[in-house]
Amino acid sequence: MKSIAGKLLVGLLVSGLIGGTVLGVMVTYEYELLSSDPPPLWRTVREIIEHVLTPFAVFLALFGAGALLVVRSMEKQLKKIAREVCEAAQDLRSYQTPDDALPRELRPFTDAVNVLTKRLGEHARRQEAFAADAAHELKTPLSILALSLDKLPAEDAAPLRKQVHALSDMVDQMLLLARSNAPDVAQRRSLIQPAALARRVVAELAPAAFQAGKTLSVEEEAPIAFRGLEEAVAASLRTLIDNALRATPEGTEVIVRAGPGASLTVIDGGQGLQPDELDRLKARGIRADRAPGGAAGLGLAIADRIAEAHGGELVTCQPVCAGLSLRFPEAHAS
Amino acid sequence: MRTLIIEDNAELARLLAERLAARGIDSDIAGCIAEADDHVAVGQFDAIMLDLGLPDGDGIDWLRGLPAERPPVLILSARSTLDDRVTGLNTGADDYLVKPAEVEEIAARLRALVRRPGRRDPVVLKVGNVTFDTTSRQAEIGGQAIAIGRKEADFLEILLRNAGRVVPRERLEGTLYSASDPVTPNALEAVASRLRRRFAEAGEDDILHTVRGVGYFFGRREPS
Repeated sequence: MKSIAGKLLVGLLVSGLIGGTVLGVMVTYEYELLSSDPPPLWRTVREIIEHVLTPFAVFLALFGAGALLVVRSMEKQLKKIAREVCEAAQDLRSYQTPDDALPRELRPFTDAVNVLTKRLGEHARRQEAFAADAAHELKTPLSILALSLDKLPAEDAAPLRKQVHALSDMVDQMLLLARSNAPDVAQRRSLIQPAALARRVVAELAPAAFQAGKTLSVEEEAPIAFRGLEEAVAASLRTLIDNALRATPEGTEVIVRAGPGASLTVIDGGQGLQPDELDRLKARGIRADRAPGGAAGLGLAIADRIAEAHGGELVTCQPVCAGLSLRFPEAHAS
Repeated sequence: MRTLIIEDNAELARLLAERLAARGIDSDIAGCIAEADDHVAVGQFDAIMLDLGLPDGDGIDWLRGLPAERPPVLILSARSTLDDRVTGLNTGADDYLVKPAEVEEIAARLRALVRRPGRRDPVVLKVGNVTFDTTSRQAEIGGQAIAIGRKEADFLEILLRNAGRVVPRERLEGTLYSASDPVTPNALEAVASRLRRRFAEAGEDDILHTVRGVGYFFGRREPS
């Protein structure tokens, strides 16, 4: 029996049994029920009902009802706190149980959990600060590299410049990932319209896609807004589109679909990824295409982590079509 | 043209000055805010390039303290989020570039900043073979005039002004049609295909592109 109410019930039954037995013995002794001249049976039964069963029934009923009330009210308080904790978890906020919200007996436990969440929050803040610093520090040598490339002949510089860009993109993505995981991110989240975001990112990438002989387009299918760090979501969408463009043969189209619901899907002309293949890529952070050359990337792994930090996920559209989908929890009207 | 580079990384500042010099832009270098103040007090600059994280303070704060009569400022920073860029531009910066940026782009933006005040966009827009005179509303391909209607001319002008960038269809619709005009979903595409036909007749295909669900852009495929 795991519940407190159950334990109380068993406790009451046991104490009732023991008490009943003691009282029974006392009654037996008092009324000389076991003597050579016992009183008539009906009197014995009446005595037992009057002096043993009735007081016990009254006591058990009152105590049981009281205990049940106390347990119910505690359950209510706990459920309220649990709801608050769940809401905090949804927004990745840290949560501190207020001192007077729960009975004193639970304080050691809530205090310990409070310490844990506080330390986790500090840790995440430090991680974000570190990632931000690291990203910053990396940008200066990257700038020096980019400027130095200017001295090389154009044909030598072009492929190197591509690598510098890829590195710089990755640094940006890591910075955005750290930001989406930050404990105070809830305050920085805004309402994102999937269709508007898709159009913005596609407008950015379409000219380059055209130069590579590929077409980009946007389709809408009943999109619903969601909350998030717009730059971070845009970065993961950009990664998916970059990946799709690499996997797509020249002369074909990559479609970015906003919706249905709070989702963004990138459909390409490649073979698509099986769920287990995608899981492997997410975990190991290697690139999706098997083509040589191009930018190396933690791309998909970071895109998945960014989605996760928003309470969403990166999933494959297989077997329906070849593509990847970012799914987010829909924003509520509140 | 003379610029002031405010950048705490000496190597980066030196390289930047060197590469800009190769493009005809001379620069002075300041490694911190104190040095920048000295330079601004005595020197005449056409533009200022500003890094944000400086050893003796934040570039944004320094920018706030500059007098209104100052040269245009281009922020060149590692901070890349939308918030950072918006803050930079709202503080009064005239342009914002994220590190690492290409010298070519830095130089182009500097030139644009210097010619910005008082100058109007060129009257004749030109992309590749295609020219458009914004006053006479005449379009030419390789010197050969082509006949286009009023809506086609408006359409072409916006695309030429934004050559190489995608122009959202809402913006085109807003310019081509008045608010009371009912715009049918295919109206823009019809204008675009009429233009394409004219271009094709003059031997210029594959220059006006539809980005389905987003808008249009103008540009030629460069041989790779």
